[in-house]
Amino acid sequence: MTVNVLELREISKSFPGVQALSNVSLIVRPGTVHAICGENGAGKSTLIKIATGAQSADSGVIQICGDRIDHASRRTVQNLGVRAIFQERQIAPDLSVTENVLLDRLPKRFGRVDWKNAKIQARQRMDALEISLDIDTPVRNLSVAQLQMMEIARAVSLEARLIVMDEPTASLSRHELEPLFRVINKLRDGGVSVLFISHHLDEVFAIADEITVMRDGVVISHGEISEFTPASIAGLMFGRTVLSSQADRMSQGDLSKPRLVIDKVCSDRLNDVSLSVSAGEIVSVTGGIGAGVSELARMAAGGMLKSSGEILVYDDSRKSHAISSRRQALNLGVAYLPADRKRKGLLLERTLSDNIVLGQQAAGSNPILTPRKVSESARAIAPSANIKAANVDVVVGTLSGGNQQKVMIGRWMGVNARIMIFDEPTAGIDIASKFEIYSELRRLADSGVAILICSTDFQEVGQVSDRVFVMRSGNIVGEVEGSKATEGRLLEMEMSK
Amino acid sequence: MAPLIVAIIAISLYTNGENGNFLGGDNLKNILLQVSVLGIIATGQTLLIAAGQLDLSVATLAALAGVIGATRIKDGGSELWAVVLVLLICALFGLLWGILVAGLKIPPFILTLGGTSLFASIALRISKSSPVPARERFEWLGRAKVFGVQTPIWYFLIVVVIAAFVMRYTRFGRHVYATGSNEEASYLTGIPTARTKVLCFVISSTLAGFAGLVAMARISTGDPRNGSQLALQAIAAVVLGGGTLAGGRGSPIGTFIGVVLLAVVQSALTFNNVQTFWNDAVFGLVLIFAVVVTAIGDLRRRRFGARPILASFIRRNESVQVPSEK
Repeated sequence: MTVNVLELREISKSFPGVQALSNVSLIVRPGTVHAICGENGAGKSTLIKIATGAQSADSGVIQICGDRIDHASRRTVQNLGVRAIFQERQIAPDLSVTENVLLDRLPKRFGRVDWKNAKIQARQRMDALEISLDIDTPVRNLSVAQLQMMEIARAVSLEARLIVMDEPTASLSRHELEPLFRVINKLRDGGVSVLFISHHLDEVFAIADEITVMRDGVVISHGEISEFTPASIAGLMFGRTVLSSQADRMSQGDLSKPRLVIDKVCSDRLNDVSLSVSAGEIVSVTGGIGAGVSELARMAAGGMLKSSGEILVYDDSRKSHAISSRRQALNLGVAYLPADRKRKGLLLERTLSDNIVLGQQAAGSNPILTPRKVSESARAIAPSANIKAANVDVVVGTLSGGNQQKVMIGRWMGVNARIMIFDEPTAGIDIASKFEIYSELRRLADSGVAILICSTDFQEVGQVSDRVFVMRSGNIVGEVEGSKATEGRLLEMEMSK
Repeated sequence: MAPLIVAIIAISLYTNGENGNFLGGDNLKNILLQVSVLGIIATGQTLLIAAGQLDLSVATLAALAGVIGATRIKDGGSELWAVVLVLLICALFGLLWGILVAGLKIPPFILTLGGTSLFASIALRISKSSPVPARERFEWLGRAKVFGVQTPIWYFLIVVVIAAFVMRYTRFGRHVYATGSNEEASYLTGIPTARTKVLCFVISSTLAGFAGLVAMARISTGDPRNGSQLALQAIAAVVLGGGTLAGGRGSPIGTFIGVVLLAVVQSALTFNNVQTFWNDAVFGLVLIFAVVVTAIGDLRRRRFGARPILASFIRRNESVQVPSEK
């Protein structure tokens, strides 16, 4: 009989005031890919933290490769071959890929690092997993997907028997999924197990062998993937049936009234990009991560310099203004909602009210702004953005991803933004909240806001847009009506030529 | 902040028990007088630290301000003109730091470390390395009394009150906290982060200049070597009062209490006849103790307390909505 790589038995963990996990058991068999599904707050992350020794359980048994662990610390767990790849990546940004992969075990020769040998070793690890990475680049220059690959290579070089990944696909574009899956398959073939958390059921079905579904800190169901369907898992996750419905398209926008015109814009990442967005319309730009979609979003909002071309905003009296800075764009009613909400959008340690009034705070001119005025505005805006929180004084970092995004939206509703630019509007948001965000977007458009969405999620783009532009390496390579923007069609446009 | 107040009261009561004069009006005034210069500088530093910045050069800038002020009136020049000139020069240096930090993204630590040596050297050059006597001038700035209280104390209190108002009730104050909390997010929202940082440097440098003039007026001498410890003490006071060098936190009132704690500790040491070489050790220990207590509080909150409690509380009120079937 083979020994299970990881066995958790009746793990319970409570934080003051909340039972995060109660009697959770989980078994990961060698050479299998095991997925944990559940909505935000189901206890997935806590479970993973306990399994990797980052947090201690209140009760229960942890066994790694048959050894019972009494006081699991990160170190003991790692020594037994369990490696975690968390979302906050643990890297030395100025060192090269080689150094990061080998880190504390660089080959030495006469007391000095044997670079030639080191590079060969790093190269071998990469090749074994079919990862193509320049081993000399400083890690700082790698994309999120490349970092992930590097971390996997490092874990393998440390002889990991189980690699734990917390939402490995959360910040990847769809083109980066395939290489990741290929590497995971390689790991499985090599007898390494993978335990991962995912919000995306299609990914779970593409790669997992076994699945555990959690809700409210307990395991609802587990078994081989063949016993489930995406619909049955979604039902288990939320305790009811979820229907994926296309957000309603009430209006198509008034195309004769462009609000935002991007005219022949060039930069080091963008090449001659032109498009326009009208009032009441949702226009999406999509493509892989290297396509320049994210750069376009930031540039359109005035947050990045362009080398040529113009970004024009039309006000209510149809006068055009060229955008030259983020602050000027704000005064013209241009909202920007970055993909990385935690680092670029929110003041995480401050309250919901501090965050939701930030737009008004930036746009207003009255030098006096009292705390009372702030909480009054916050209380006025919060309900219209459908934010669910106990009150406006909660720290924004404690809200779920969906609610955080609604705080961002609320921030801009507060200043009556006429143009809203979203970069990856639903990155890191669970399925149910995604639909809420989609209907929020449609509501905004119906109220006359011009919406530009820059997203690498084809499914999302097809679901919410009136028009879709497809980009590849900085160029727009096609345009299609929203109703015809199926994933297949978009992929075809993106691959063609 | 509550622990600081408790500490202040405890130390005061203890020392008063040993020596009944400690809580007498004269000694209380004396305590505040001792730290009024530090307090004015620390208030400026509070703004900078809340904005995620730092200025190490304020101490030598204050000394330079005192030297220039004293030199100006040496041969009978106008006091007011000397003050205006000094404040203007200091504001310009603040502007320079601000522009270099905000525009060229130079780390303020290194930049102002350079400034520290620069100002010290200029002050020595102007004064020809010896204290410049200000004779009987500048009485209103350093030695006069209003309602029986020395003017430096009034200046300190006024500066704290104005700063507290600005930080709490103005748009600029909120911009400062936003910039310090998350500069990138603030910038992308449209907060004028560069302007905010520049203003903080200008305000802090101007206050440092003013503090230098007050210090000079108190001892009627522009001493180029005066107060070299002030910059670090000011930062310590801000941190004691709840500021963090990561930015986004700190308040003028908190800093005020931090300054008072430092002052009470110093005075208590004198009253209890502790030898003076222990002063720095106690200062260091107070600071280390304060940051350790704060860090433990933060750690507890992150690992066990506030976050999960809050999160669960919110989630309970969060019913997940799913688009209904059409």
